[in-house]
Amino acid sequence: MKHFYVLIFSIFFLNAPDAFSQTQPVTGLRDNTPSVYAFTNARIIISPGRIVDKGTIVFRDGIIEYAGSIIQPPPDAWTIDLQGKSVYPGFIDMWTEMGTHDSTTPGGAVHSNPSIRSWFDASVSYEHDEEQVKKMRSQGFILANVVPARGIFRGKTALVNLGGGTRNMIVIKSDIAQAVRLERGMEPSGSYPSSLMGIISLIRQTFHDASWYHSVHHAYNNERGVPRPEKNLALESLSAAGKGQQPVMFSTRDEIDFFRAGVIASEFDLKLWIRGSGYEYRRLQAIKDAGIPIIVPLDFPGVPDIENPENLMNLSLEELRHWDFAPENPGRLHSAGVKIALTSSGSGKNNLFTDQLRTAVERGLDEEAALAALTVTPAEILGIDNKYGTLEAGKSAGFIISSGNIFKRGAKIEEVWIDGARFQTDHTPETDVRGKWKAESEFTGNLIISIGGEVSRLKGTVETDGEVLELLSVKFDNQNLTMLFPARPGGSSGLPGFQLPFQKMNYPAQVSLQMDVS
Amino acid sequence: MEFGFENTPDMPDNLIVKNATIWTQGPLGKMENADMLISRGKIRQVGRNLSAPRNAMVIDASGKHITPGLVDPHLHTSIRGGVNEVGNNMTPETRIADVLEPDNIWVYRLLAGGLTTANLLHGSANPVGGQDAVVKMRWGCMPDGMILIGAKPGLKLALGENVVRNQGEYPNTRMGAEQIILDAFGAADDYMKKWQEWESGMLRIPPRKDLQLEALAEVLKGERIIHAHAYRQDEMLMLIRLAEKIGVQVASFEHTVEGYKIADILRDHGAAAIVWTDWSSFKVEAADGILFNARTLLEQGVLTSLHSDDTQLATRMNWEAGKMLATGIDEITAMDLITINPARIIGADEKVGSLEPGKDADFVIWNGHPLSGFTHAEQTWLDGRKYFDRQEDIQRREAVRKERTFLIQKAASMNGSSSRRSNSE
Repeated sequence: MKHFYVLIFSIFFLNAPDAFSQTQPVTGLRDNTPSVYAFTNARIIISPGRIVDKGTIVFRDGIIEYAGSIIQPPPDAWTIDLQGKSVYPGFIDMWTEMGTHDSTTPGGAVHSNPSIRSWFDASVSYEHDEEQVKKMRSQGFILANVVPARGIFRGKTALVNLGGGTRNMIVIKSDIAQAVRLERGMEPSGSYPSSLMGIISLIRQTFHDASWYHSVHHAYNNERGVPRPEKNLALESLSAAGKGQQPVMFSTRDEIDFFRAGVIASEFDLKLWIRGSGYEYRRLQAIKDAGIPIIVPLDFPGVPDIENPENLMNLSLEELRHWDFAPENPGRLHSAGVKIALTSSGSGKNNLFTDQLRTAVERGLDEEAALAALTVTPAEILGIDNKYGTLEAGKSAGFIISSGNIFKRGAKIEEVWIDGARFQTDHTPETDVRGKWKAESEFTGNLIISIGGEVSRLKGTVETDGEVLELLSVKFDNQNLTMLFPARPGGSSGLPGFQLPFQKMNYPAQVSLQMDVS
Repeated sequence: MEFGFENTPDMPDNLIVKNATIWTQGPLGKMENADMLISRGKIRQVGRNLSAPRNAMVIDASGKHITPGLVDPHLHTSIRGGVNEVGNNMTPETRIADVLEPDNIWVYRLLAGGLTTANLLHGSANPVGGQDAVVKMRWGCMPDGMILIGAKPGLKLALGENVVRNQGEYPNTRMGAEQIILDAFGAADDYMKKWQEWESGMLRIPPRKDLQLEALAEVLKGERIIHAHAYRQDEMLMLIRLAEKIGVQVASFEHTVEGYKIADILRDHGAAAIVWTDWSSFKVEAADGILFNARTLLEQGVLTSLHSDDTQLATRMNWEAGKMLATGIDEITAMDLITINPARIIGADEKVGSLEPGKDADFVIWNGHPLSGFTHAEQTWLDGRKYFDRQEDIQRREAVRKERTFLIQKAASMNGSSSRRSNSE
């Protein structure tokens, strides 16, 4: 089991670059591993349009010290040769709803209408879900603005890092924006509001209430003899947004919703951010004139099903046009001069973001603009552009390492680094483990394992006491070689399986196989 | 065609329509061989042998009839996300203007039927439904661009069966409907007083701005008019008495199926009647509908108009007016029922409803007598811009067919390729 220990230890080390800057008590041994790295020989995209064809990046304790043409790495740096690879600033997703599905309404002084959840704070309720953040990392994201999932007033968004770590290190910034939607947020049917006009009325009334709440409490606190006003955390939470000090993020379902949000925003002088719909191309000029940043989803419909004549008859020209135009939406918005940030939300469940991003580039969004929409623009909108968004010295070490041009099909996102911590995203094995292995164990005696098949689809057999058994599965992910045995008829006395941890000693990986049977 | 126009149709600086039969629905009545001169979207003159400025666009309308753009005072088209707010029984705060759909294909279809103005109303689920929107069919405009500025803002009320249907939710009886309306206006009255107290410095803390009561207070102040859905005479009498008690007027009753029974009372109160031609008996409270409702009301001096209450019907309001000829109403009066009378009822008659100097250039060129079932609209103009042209429409249909075919072919060539993704993923 000792190799399991090695593995866990290594994760801890990667995510806690500096034990002196956190409040969580250290359990066990302190980690004193130096955290200085140098990437060499890489193509470095420092910021949109600023490219070094072959260069070096040095970063220490999660902060970039140098990015530019090739230099001699500092002597204490762990040097990684990235010959043939490209390094991009990590992507920032302006809109994800993961980890905030808590739908309970507390019994305290919140709001009588359960749709008004402006009090909900994503930085408090966020639950890090490794499976989900892994998917986001695999598409190049290092940070995400987490938007509460429920309610019409959904609550306050929070910026989180997608690397993990302690709860206090995961959340980067709270109270970023108040999120509002123009549709029902999973409330019980029959409750108010049931209609769009009711929803808009409720939003309007609530902003009026927030402003009123502020003035009555001001009077109550400063004067004698004022009857005690109600305590309402939902209205209190809207104080900054109602004064235009905190952005209000409206999600829209089509381009007309954009203007509906605009009407409300101008009525209350709100600072408006829009989560777009993908239909903006239909009202490009007016949307441009509004001068509001749009968080654009890459929600491109699939090819319409026209093989069935009945489907064909029901297909409206609107649907056909949208199928044809939707991939051009990001490019058209950018060309029109709209400030856009791209989001992975809405681009389909199956990690389609990277695919759709490349489609958008093929359909007119230039690469520089695409990169800006994923890095500097969201960083600027979020007010973190002095920390994230580019690979300039002094900024956080947040990278994507790609096998090639990330905006072109075929390039693989191999790793992302978040605040100096490394995450592997491409799980194609770097090492060919096929062959004949001998395993020794005091529990099992000698085993002969034969691994064959394709690198991405391994097969194998195990020979024990002269008996050859076909393995049910063989998987290798650069960290573990995992095998599953078939159950033997008549009992479970046999081995259920192996997990063989591999420890990497250097990069690119040189695997030294240390076998142990778990 | 599923989108609104990408660009607003052009407005010629000067336009003259010549040699037509013009139904002015104003003091000039119906004029044969007449001309109409339009400048920058407004009607300048209607008469014979008018001279137009040089460079004026000329339409020779010989043999054609021209009427004002038709007006439907009661319609529920191009409203997004529900016409009733059923989460509460009283929803005066809700506004149709918030949820307009200017790209809705039905806006274009209404134009094709000669309809240029409508009052878009809530449904009748609630005793107080909400704030209506008088709109023009400016297909493809910005959402707030549909609003007819200058029309009187209205509040939709509803009486009778529909509002008492929600078992367990007040009101469940007609008496309850009366009480809840009275209660709401009472609260609005208190609300206004509270604000007066605040403004005169009598209060320590400001009253809460309540959008429900604001809308009702606007009615009490005469800034907003009441359009009340009603079928039976008793519920109309109830609302008239209630309105007189609180010092307001009911601007119109909608549907007014039993209006003929109390025409004199409607007239004396000043309530207009919005009626169907021949639609009745589809539910118990509609059982007493008669074909002579409109004529009886008109003869008693009630401001009367037709309405569609139905998107399909609204595309052929000229037929509805034509049907009224069978009750002995003359053709000018019949045309009034779908033009100037509804315009008056919704407080838009200074802008639309008749072809008189100074009014908006909203007009329809018909290929024959406009009250005939064989006639169709050839062109519909709105604000001095041509929004519908039958010939262009035929060409546009062809363009749409071609575009559709092209896109289907494109889809066919990609079907089965790796980029295919079903929407269910």
